[in-house]
Amino acid sequence: MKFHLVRPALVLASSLVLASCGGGGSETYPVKVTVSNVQYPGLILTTNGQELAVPVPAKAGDNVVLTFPNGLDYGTYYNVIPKGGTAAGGGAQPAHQNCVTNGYPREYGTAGQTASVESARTPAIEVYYGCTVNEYALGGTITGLTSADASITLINGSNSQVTVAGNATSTDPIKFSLAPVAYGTSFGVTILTQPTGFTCTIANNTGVMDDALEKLQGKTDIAVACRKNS
Amino acid sequence: MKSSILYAGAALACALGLSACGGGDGDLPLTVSILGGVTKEGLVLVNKSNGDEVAVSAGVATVQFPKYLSTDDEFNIDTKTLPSNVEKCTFSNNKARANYYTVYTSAPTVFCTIKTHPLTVTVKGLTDAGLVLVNGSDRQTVTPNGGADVPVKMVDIPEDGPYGVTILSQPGTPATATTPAQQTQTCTISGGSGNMTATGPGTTPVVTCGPKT
Repeated sequence: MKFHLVRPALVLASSLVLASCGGGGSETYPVKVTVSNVQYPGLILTTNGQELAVPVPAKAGDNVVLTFPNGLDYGTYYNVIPKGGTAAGGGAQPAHQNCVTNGYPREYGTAGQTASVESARTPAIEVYYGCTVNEYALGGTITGLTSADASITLINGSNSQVTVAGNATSTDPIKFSLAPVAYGTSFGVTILTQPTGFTCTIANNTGVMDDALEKLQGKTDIAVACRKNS
Repeated sequence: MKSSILYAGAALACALGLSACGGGDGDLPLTVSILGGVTKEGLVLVNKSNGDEVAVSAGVATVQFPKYLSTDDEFNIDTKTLPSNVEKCTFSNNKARANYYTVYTSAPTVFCTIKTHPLTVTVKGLTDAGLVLVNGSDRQTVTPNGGADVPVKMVDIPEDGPYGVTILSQPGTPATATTPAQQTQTCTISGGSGNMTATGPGTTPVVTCGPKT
């Protein structure tokens, strides 16, 4: 009975000694980040005054796994976010992309708060970010479709489709929009179904969502001109 | 008061009797979540364990089999008939014994894959490089074959879905930082937009190239 008590007491004492003199004090918590779908350079993640530039993976589609230069002491608060941004995006993002936290495990916490799959000896703080390519608007205007009974169906290839009815009371151009298009992706809008009693033509309808269109936040000047059949 | 007790008693007896013989008139609803791919009528699901059937309409999120199951009743859901445009349907959690967990927490799901068909554009009179065709996000560069017809295979199109092929860039030298694009031929497309049917594209897309206009 007596010996039973002695042993835990010794263990406790020795662990206290170690902690107080910093023995094994190199036991810090590395901050490991895993970022998926990085396609362009530019992402900088920060925490505790440290910065970590996230490069494009050598093989497209691979996750980028990096560790911040310095580990954190037990109990240190951390919050891994894009430089100048938040966990929901913004700040130093990859070009044409936005990266957000996956939600769990949380991008913030205190070092040593949660267990890790890494190893019992050197537990790492693990944070996950996922990136998506920015999408921009695709649309334009329809003129001359002066009957509410007539409707036109426009498509962007096999990607998206919209049907728009005419307007008998106003000659203002009718706006239409198709599903947004990701940066670097091509689009080609065509007329799938002509409105009854009208013949429409489409112009300025094909391109690639490139830097110029990104600056304009999309392609919104596709022109559909309709004329009443005689 | 008396009759309601009798009624409850009768119901209980009935339920016990049924479950004892595996009749399966219990209180567990068997539902299936439709994750996608059902765009027209024709899908009928069957619970092969008791022969119960349910039809799935286009666009619904979940369906429920008419018969309720008792705890431990086996269920094994499969397709009886497929919509005409469906290649196959894939289930998960579709075979189990009924209990709270298998009918509510990890309820069966089904996802159907729509048939696809090839879309080929015939390019006529092309002598120069640089022609690029797009069907929305699908981009194909066309290599000339000395003016002979070139069949250009686009990415396959889902049955009943639309396609719209346009010309992204005309034949010629592509633009660089120092020189503007030099177009050398003019191509036009006909029959570029239509719907994919069970027997192939609804139109015949043809690109005709000639001297620059």
